[in-house]
Amino acid sequence: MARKLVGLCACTMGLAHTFMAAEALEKAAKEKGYDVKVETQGSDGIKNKLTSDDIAQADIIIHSVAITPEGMDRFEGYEIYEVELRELIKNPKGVLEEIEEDLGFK
Amino acid sequence: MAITKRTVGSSDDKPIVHKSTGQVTSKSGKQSAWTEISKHIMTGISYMIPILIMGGLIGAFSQIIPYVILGIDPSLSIVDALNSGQFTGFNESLLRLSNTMASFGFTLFGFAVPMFAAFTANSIGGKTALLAGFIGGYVANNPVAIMKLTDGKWVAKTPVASGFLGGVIIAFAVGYFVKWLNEKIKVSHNWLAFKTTFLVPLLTALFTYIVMVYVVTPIGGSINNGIKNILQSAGKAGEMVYAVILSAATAFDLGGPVNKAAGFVATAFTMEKTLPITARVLAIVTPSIGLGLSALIDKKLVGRRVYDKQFHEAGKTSIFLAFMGISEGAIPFALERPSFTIPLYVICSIIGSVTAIALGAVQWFPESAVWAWPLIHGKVAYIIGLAVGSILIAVINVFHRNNLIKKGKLEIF
Repeated sequence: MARKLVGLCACTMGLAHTFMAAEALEKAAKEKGYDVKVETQGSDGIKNKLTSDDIAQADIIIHSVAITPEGMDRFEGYEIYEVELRELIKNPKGVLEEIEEDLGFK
Repeated sequence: MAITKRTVGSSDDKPIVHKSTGQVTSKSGKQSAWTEISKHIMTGISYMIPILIMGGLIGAFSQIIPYVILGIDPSLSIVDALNSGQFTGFNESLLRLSNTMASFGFTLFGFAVPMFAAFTANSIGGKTALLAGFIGGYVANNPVAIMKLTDGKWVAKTPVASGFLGGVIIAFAVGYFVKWLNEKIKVSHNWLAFKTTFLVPLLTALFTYIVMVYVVTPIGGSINNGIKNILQSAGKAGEMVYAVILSAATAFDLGGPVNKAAGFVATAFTMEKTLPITARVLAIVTPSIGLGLSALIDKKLVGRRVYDKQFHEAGKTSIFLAFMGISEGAIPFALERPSFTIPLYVICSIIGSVTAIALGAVQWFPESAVWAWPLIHGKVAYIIGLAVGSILIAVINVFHRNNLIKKGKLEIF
């Protein structure tokens, strides 16, 4: 079964970078064969909201946020990876590879 | 690559260590402390900007109706105009509408600082901090009356507001206080409800009360008194010294206690016809126009954005509000990087005011909105001074931020 990856993206203004990062992460994760779901907290509110089940089932949780996102209590007790938005937009594959290495997926 | 691994709810952030090389890829501790503070401030700002736009625009429209559309003399208030009997029928309704609109707009406006303080505190300490921050921010704008002994009788007196700087202080104080309480108070599971629904809120409310009423507001008050004394002696020292100090004090905290002190003294002098209020009316709008401009001309000047997208909108609002005589539009810009921005706009406001006054601009009427401009003597000099001050702010700010970006010290989204 494909590994599951969930992400949360939110930039300060919630206009552009939130969605650019989400798109980059989704694309890179799909290419690597992950079952992926990315929540965005932009100026138009929360889209594609992660449920507690999503988070519980995830093998990798990535936060790429410039602000404190809403609903942090959902992640209570889980191990998450935090990465800068800029990094994720520029080099989503590199980010994933580094996390995989850390988790020993390879 | 800066990837950090952590368990939510615990405070031990671990940088990823490369197994192959053993190299630590996290940033230094000092930089991440600043990153964290900046993240809290930016969270607050992102909730504050919509309020400034909503309240500011409604407030501004309420002023455009009487002073631009109906062409009322700017020295007349809306209520005076209504009572003058000159306006009947439709125009009278318009006037009544604009007065109500003004109240509503400025009420909305009053929530900018509370919203900022609330969400900055929330970003640090969570839900309890959000509410305490909101209350603290509200009290920063509308201080609680305290009992004072005057002529042998106790009377309730409302002290001077501490303004947005008071809001910043309480937001951080209460945010970290709540965070600290939640970490330090350890109770068994049975007592968890007692802790989170009674003990922490109670201690937080007391903390907010003590800090705002007995520390932040009195500090603002004593600064207010100090500035009043300095300005009064500056008034005696000569017109230029007075202009320099008046514009610096007016610009400094964008409506806080320093600004209020400046307004108090300057209004008294201008009413007595001792010294004109030119420097103050210029310094109210120069920071807003300058900072707003820097978010609009950045691309033309250095070929890239030096402000986030939302600041682009905030910039337009800031300039528009400045022409309406409102300076609060510049607060997000001041909050975003206060250590550089505040000195910058204070100095440039002084330069702008001194230029205008040296060229012969004189304004006795205490209103900086564009419809009060016809009352200025030496309009060209006034406009030159305004342009000099605000363009200096914009240009220096854009180049400084561009430099920071080049050095990798600033990121733009």
